[in-house]
Amino acid sequence: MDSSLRKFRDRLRIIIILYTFCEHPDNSTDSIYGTFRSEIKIQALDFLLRYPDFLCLELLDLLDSDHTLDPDEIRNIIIDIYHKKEPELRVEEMEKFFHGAYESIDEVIAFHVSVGFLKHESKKRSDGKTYDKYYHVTKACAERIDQFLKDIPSVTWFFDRCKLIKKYFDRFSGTELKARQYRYSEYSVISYKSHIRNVNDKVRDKFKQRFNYQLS
Amino acid sequence: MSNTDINFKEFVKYVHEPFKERITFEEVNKILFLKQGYNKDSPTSLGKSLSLNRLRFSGKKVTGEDYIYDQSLSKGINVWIADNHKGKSTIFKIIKFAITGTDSIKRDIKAWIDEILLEFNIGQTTYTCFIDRRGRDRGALYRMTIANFLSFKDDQKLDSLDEDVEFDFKSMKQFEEKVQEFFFEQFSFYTLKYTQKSSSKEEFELNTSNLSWATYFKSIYLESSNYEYLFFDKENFGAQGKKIFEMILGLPLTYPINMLSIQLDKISEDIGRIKLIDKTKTETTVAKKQELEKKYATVNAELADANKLTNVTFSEKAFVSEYNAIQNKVNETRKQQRVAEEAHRLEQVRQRSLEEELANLVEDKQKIQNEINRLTKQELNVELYRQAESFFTNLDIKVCPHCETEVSESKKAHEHTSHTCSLCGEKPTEQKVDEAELKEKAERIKQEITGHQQRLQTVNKNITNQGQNLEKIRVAVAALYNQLVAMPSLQTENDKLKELEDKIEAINRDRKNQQQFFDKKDQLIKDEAVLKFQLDELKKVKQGDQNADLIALQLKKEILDYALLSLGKKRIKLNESILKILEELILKEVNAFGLTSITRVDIDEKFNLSFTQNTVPVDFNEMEPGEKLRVKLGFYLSLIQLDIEHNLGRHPRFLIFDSPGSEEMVPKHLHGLSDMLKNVNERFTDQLQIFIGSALREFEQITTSDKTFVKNEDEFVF
Repeated sequence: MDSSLRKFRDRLRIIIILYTFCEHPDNSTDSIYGTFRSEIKIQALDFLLRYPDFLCLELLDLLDSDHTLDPDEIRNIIIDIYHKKEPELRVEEMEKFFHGAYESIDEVIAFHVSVGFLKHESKKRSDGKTYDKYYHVTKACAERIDQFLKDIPSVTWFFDRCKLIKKYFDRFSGTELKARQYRYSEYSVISYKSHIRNVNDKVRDKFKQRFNYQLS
Repeated sequence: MSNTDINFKEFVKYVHEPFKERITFEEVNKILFLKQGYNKDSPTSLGKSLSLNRLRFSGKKVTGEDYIYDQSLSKGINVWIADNHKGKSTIFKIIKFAITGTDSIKRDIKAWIDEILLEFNIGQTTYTCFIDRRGRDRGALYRMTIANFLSFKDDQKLDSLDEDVEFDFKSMKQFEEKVQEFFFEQFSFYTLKYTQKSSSKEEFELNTSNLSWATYFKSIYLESSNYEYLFFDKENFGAQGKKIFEMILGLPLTYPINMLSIQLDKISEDIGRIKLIDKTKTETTVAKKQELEKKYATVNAELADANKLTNVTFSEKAFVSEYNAIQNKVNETRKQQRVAEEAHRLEQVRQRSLEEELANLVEDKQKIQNEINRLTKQELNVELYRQAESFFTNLDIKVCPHCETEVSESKKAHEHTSHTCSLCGEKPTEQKVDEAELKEKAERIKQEITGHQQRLQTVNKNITNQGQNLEKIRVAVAALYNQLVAMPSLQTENDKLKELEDKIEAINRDRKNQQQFFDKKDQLIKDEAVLKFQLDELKKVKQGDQNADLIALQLKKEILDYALLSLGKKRIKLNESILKILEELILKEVNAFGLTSITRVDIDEKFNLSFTQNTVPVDFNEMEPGEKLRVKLGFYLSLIQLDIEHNLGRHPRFLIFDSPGSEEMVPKHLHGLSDMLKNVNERFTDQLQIFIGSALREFEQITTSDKTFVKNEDEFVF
């Protein structure tokens, strides 16, 4: 049962990410709701969704480098995440793969393509490898999401969290986001195929330093 | 009959010959007759050696501490290394006590000892001497090991051991007598006699004293105070030293010469007395009497002064009782310190155990919390699935994700009828999770969470309770620690104790220095006795013809002189070869010990040892302290070698060497001493047993570590 549930959540997260983060170009066709680029960015955003503790650390880090951000807002976001025990309850474990790639999302993408939620487009290099992948979210998909998914109480958390991530991290490319993650030893030094350690202590320390407040 | 024996009848005949005009053969026979005969001595070794196996003594120290000293002893050299006054000599004195019955243990230490056990071997037989010092000394000499003795003692079976008891005793005097008899029997020693003047002013006559086993033991136990002498202090007193030497050598004719000499001393004394009386008589005048009286008065006055002087008590009693009082106080404080330390320690143990329990509880709490988190997460996921699963169900397959070709209507229709995948043509295996199953899982998770929350409550309660308890214990530990550090320091008392020790030591030194006054007093007592006697005789004014007695005594003296002279000559002849061997052995030893300036050793007919050093003859007493120490060790080792290598003499092959090189010796005299002893250990190995007590750390290298008993600085031997 657990694998069925997990597969379901993978599909749910990816489609909500694509729905939330896709852009709506002027030249979009009638059948396309929006377009998202690229695979690395999907995985980087998925990572922030799956690890609320890393998200908090990234927010604190942004605060250091970007003075236009509102510290109080970020403070409250992080307090709320820890108050709701998200680093324990909302973490969706994944294994780190070699070369910094993430869990493969090919199967999930294939599913969404087969049911007509996505159209998939990519360029092929001379060695046969695909690059520069485009994901087009279909209007049919967007309508179904609006109609049947958005208001389900247990799913709203995913939409809210994606909105939050979008607000602070949408401006980074997939490669930039990946590079940011690699700055953390909890992520970068673990061996192939093992689980990622949490960064709760780092967050608590940094938070205490900045806001003089002990997170629960 | 051994070749050293003499025929008594022939001897009487020989002595009678020059006196035959003046006395009959029978009378000479009577004068020369000795109950134990003339052939009591034999130089042939009995091949017996004394070696100690184990010493164990126990009791209670003045500090109140119970102790057991238990030490296995080995053949060869055994070394005790500890600072001075830390019990080395006490160990040796306890051994001396158990072997001779003579108690020279320091008075303050004596009270510490309840029981003494000494296991030793004579030849193949093992003995254990047991002394119970509680009350009057009593005990026994058993033929068994200490281990056996202890096992019989534990089983309360000592009284049933009649056959294994050599002797028993119920007082120190009895012990001394029986142990002397035992060792005399074992090593064929016997009592040699010597004469001495009585120190009592009432008596004028010569007393005869015996050389006891304890005196012979001085050739085994070489005390530090006696390194100045070849045998021991006052060895010239009655020529005891030389007599020990004669006894150890077992030289033929020792017994008759000793007995006849005693007889001669007594006769000479009688003659002297008669002459004195005669002299007194013939010289009697009023003037003489007045002079004597005047002299008598002077001597008496001097004696009174001497008495006064020697009455000055060098009493350390006051210091000793002050010392004991402070010691008691120190003990009491130490006891309180220990009680406080123990209380503090116990409370700390409770604190640690509670801390441990709390840590376990906190860990439990964390585990339960983790479990609740894990279950809550599952609950969230199940709920998510329940609510949103339908979003992905009943979706038509529209496009092949591989080639992005749209799935044709006919294929869709075929899928409905054949229930095979319109893309791959396989039968789908993946099933939607059953609603009932989900519900059941959600229910189960809820129950588990409830269970864990209850546990969490209990653990939280326990943590609160034990936390409060721990706080109380911490307060108690802190209070006990404060009590502990508030205990008074013993520095002042310890300083005072040291000061008193020094004072007591000083008194003992003074007392020693005052010895000359005592000696003078002794002399005055003797003078006074002579004067009194002379005056008494004068007063008697009784004329008696003592000439006949005098003539008879003088004849007797002449006969004894002649007999002794003959025996002396005979003995020189008989013993020539033994003494030659001994001279060579001693020379070899002293040379080996670095005294290469000595080129010749001689032992004369009176058993005086003399040396030729740098071509000049020197006496032992003229040597430097360092030389004396070497010569003395060489001398005793030679006696033992005489037995080992030449089967002559009867030294028990056991030596105690207490503090060779004690503080009164200058360092240059000590130089090489440890090498010398190391050399002895290597040369003789198991053929003898030597005990050495020393404060010198370099002595650690003499023998193997199992035979070296080292104590740290200031640490007691027991």
